[in-house]
Amino acid sequence: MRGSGRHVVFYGDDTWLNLFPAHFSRQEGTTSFFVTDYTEVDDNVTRHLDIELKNGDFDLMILHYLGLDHIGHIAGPSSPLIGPKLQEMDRIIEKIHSHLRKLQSKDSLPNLLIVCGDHGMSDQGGHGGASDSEIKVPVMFLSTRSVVNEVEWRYEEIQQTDLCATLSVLLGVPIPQNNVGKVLTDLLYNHNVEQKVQIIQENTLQILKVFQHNVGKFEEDRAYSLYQRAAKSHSHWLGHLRSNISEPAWNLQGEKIIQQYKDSMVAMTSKLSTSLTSYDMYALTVIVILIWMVFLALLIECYKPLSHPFVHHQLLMTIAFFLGCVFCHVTICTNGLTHSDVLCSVTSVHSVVVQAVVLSAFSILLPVVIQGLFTLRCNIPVSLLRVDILGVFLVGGTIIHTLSLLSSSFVEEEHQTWYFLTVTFHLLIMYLVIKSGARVVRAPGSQCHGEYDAMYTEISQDHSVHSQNDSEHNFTRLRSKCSTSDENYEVPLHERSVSERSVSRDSGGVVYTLPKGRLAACVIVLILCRIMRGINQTGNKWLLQPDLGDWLVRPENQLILSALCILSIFVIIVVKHKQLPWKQKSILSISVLTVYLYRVRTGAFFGFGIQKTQGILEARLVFAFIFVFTALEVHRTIFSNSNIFSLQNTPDINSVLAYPSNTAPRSNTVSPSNMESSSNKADVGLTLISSIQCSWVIVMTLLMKPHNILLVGMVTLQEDIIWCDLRCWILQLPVSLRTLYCLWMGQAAFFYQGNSNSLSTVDIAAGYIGLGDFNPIITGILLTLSTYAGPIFWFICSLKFASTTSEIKQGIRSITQESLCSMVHTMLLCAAFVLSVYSTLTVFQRYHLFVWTVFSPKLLYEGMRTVILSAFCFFIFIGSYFLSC
Amino acid sequence: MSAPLSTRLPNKNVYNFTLRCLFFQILALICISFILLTNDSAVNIISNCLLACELTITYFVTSCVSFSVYLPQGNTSITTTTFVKVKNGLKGCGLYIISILVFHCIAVLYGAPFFESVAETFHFAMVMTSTAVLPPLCALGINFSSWIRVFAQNKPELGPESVVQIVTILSILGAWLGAFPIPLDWDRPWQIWPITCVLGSILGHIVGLFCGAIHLMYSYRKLKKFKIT
Ligand SMILES: [Zn+2]
Ligand SMILES: [Zn+2]
Repeated sequence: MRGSGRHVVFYGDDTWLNLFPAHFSRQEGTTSFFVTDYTEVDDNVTRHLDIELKNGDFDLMILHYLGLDHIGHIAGPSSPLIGPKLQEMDRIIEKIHSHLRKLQSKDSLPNLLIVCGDHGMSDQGGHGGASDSEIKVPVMFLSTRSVVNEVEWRYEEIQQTDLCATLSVLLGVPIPQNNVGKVLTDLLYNHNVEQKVQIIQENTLQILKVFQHNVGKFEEDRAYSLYQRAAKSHSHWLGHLRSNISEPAWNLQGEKIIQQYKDSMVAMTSKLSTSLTSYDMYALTVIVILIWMVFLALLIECYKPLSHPFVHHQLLMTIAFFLGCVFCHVTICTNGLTHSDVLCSVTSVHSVVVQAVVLSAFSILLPVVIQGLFTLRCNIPVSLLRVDILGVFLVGGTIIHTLSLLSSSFVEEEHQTWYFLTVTFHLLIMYLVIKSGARVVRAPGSQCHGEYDAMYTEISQDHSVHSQNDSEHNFTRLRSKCSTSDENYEVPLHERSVSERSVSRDSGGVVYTLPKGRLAACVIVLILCRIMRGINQTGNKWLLQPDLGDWLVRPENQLILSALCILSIFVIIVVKHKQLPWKQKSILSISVLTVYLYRVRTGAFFGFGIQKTQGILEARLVFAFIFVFTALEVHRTIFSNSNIFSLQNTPDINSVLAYPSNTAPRSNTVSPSNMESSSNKADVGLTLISSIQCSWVIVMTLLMKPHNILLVGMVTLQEDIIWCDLRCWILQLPVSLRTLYCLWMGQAAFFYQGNSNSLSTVDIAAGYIGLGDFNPIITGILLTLSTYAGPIFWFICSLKFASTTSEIKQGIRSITQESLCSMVHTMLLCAAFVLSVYSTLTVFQRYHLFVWTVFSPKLLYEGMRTVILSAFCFFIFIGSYFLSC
Repeated sequence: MSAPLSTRLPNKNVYNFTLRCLFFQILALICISFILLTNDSAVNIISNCLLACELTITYFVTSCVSFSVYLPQGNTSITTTTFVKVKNGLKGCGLYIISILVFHCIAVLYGAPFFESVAETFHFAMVMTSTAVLPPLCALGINFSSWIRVFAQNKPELGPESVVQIVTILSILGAWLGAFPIPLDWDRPWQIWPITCVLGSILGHIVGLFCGAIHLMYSYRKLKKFKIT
């Protein structure tokens, strides 16, 4: 338009201005990224309308209204805000159209008003997915000179690409060079058949040019022969003199030719679209192999077979493999079999760096994997075979989940898998809890062999290591530790050696006491799981079922929502207060209340008449509070690390320490003082972790959607119950399995939030909390953090669960380091497992119907999760390094 | 999870009776499954799920109760009065009902809708109780300590107890596995809750009976040989 000297004015989304700088005669952009605002963005556009219409000197005016999209993101399509907004838009359209009609005189060219949406909206109000409601939008052509009659409405499905060509023809500018759309001849009311045929011929020639440029051996293609046929009949048609045949027949012939041209264009464009989505197979294969090697290397690390004979040659082998890899790479790139833009070009620095990284990664990993595979044959790990039912279920469930991803419906419904697995796991724990109530009364005089049985609960572990002499001492400790209903202590069943079992039945009876407290804890955890999955319905198949969240965000339920959120804030404060000194306590309470105030400001909660604003100040205040809180806690940790014994007196610390200090005496080699200090050190770590968790909870309340504050409360409560009452059953597992458990819970929490494996569920609004302006980096970080809030919460918990191992042996530091390593290793192993299986699948299924709608968004989510995991692991290493200094 | 070998050899009468019952039960259940799965039967599980569940439950209740009535008393020769029998029977009924409620709650925890399709969930709970709880209820009675011995300590006596343990575990496992096809996007009529889980439970029950029978025969032979030599 600009090129042909026309005037274009633009008002609306400032993305346009970034895309087309200096294209518009007059313009004003509105920041599109401030999603929480839905009136100002539109008023910004509308206020120019009157002046422009009066001026009337433009050739094209573009108005991009944003409000509706924003309402969709905040409140969804069923929000009561939608109706008034649509009416507002209606009035604007009417205004423009009537104005244009007024301008219309007999002989001036007609004006055209096009109303269309840039994208649809899913039933949650987001977009970016590929459901019908997201990708199909209405487009309306309103001409000011109605040709046939006033109300001739026609409905037809058109391709988005066709718009460009059609508009070019209607506005009288040449069709753009790279256009692949075809002119909609139905819209050409004012053209006769001859003109139409000519237009469509130009269109076809233009597409043919694109076709010839992009498709090799185009002469052999069916599309080209179609074109030739059309061209032939066209020339034949023109060759006829008009007088030779009747007018209608001639017109009919013309329409036929148009259809032929159109067929050839369709064939050409479909060929074009497949040839344009060609995949860089070399790069894909290399990357997939690399991911598999990372996974194998991590897996091999489990068995620890990196044994002596190879270690000396490690460096040598790496160099040899590096050279080999370079050689292979150069051969593959130069022999012309594959053409890879990413991996074979040497022109850009970026690609050279990528090549170097890939090559060195290959050469480092290859010897490790090969060595591992060689040594694996020699020693099959026996240790893995001795795991109890929980462990088997955790490992099996992880494998089941990964394999389930091979089916696209299980990817869409991944949340079901996680809900199913977590509920089953907690039911298993419940079974163990019920089972643990059974005790055999020991017959007098029978000896406790104390055969160490790692599978059973910590109660039995504790007892079996000790001799009978300190059993008295031990009982009190046990009672304090698992203080539920063990009033009269009997020897747990499990600890009897197998040979003894038959005897015990005869000599003593079974006594059963129901562990009521723990059973209740289990039931509460399970009920919380059920409620949380009911808050946000997600996935695909049951997406439309009504959920608690939809009901709560209705305006008439605002009071209930606010009450529930205050309740959950109260729960958070109560749960988290247990472990903190008063300064931190007050900061925590104030910051959570500020979150509430923030939500009142944005209009989500009932606000006792507080004025509505953007709430930027409040959000920033919360961030500041979180920062201060964390800083105080870190300071406290460092301070207490230097004065270990001063800590002992503070009661709140002791309550946290209760567990580790109880079990510490088990190691006989540690002298009391040494032991005390070591357990303290671990507990200082533990308090630090719980306070980090605490600050993360505040971040969660701030970043999540308003009704999800409820969820934060429940997740916190659930975690607290598990930690306080059911810890025994999880801590009896090795660190790697505990981490697995936390990963599971994290994944479930990810879906509780309302996320899914479709991009449309990402809550864009979270990216702008506390921001006055769009800042890509901060917005990106906030968006990531809010999307993965649940998993990150459980990552931090897994740190808590893992570091609690620091009970048993001498060097507390080494054992912590070891368990941390084990935790990080499990996390990375899981991520690599899913990634390697899934990326292989995606590469194989790259021509699948669902590749863009199901497979690639999931890959993106999984990749992002891995990035977060890696960042988390990195922080752990840094943190543990500093703490151990 | 298999039952560890008990050193006690079961009574021969009990052994023969149990085996015969198992054989009969397997045959009958396979027939019932066929009836449930044939397209044009009145109790087809897809078109008429509730009725199908009721049929299954009725069958289970009658067969298990008759089993417990006719089960020859083993080594314990305690004669019980009718009053005690009736009392125990009532207690058993109470346990049965409690177990239905528990299974209903578990189904809801697993994601069964809370307000809608309550009847379906309840029928599923009844089927689960019949396949997984009724057999041990009949075989072990309401004797709490033997329940603990079988399910918590994992040392059932060879005979009905060991069979019942295997059957219970496999029935629950079957129902658990039965939930997997539900999320698939095939849109088949049988994917609706609770059809697959009911079928999985019944199938698991049959497999359990089969495994129990084989385990029983195998262990019995082995123990006998061990005693002779
Ligand atoms: Zn949008
Ligand atoms: Zn948009």
